[in-house]
Amino acid sequence: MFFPSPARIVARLTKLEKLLTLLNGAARYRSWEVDRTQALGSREYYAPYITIVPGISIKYPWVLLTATFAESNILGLLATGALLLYGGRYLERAWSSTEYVKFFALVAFIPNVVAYLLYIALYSLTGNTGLAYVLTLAL
Amino acid sequence: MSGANRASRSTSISGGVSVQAAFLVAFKQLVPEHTVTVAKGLVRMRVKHFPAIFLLANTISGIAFSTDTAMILAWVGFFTSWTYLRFFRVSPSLATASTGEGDLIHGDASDTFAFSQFFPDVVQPPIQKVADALFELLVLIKICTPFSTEDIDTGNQQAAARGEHALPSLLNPTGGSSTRGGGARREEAERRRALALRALDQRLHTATVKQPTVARASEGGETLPETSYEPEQTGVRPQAQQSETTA
Repeated sequence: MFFPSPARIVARLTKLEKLLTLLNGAARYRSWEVDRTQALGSREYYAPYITIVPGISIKYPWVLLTATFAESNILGLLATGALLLYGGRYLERAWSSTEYVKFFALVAFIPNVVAYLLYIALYSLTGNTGLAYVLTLAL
Repeated sequence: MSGANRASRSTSISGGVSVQAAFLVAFKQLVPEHTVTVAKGLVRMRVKHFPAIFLLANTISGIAFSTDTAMILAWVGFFTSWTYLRFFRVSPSLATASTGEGDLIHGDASDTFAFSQFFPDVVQPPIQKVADALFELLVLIKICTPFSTEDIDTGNQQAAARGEHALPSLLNPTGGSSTRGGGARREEAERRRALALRALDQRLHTATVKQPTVARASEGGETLPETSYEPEQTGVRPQAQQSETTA
């Protein structure tokens, strides 16, 4: 299997992440524009084509892959970006390129699926969104 | 109905939090004793505490500031990467003088990578018990294969070999041993060795006090009677442990 050189994988991943974050930001801004009843940072606005939205992502299955790369704030972008760059480069040399990509794909994909299913399950159990609500119920 | 639908849509799951958690777990496997200093000595942390602190921060934030998606992702990322690294990852052996069999190792059965080792010392024993019980349950329903002592030894060897700077460090990406930062590395290697020795001693001690199924420092019970594989213990000595351990 052909893989490009290590640095390029990491560089590509961070580039992808930056791109999708921008997209995410743009999409969220766009949906806010459409309906200005809420504040800009509120969670009412989301980007269904990039992030996972438990109610409607069944129509857009690829978001399970793209959601990892779209951060919702600058801090997240910086943190994930730094971690991917330095940590990713380190891991890629510690393990082989193939191993690293396997690991990364695994960890970027499976938690999305699990979180998605979990939220669906919680929603159908409680009829309300968000873990916070469920937790406050439990407490 | 549309109101409820709208409510369910306002949670959007995104972000690399799971990848962050996974990377921290991987770092812990590779260089657990590495000390990271931030802000010129103000904050010093060992890498082995990183995942726990990360999870704690995310949990607190998730509950207090209702960033619950990040909390969920962090925990699931943690579990995913730990499970993969512990049970599924096929890795080439770093210690050449080990069992002498093939060069591929399945999973990582070392004591220092057990589940309970991720959490503070205070809560380790109860977590250990729960984790051991869970693992034995999974073994019974044939989802997991138990760790033999040979697996654990191999895991410990690998961990020790990693500590002998066979791996690139964050500052020295080319890997291999180098004379740069020799003092800190040696200290780190010493610490790993000491920990491995302590784990080994503990295991030997409990093994001689009681017979097989006993709470050990690693997840996974002692070998079950029908699946045990006892290699000859005499020929196999981990290369990094130089002091004489009582047989």
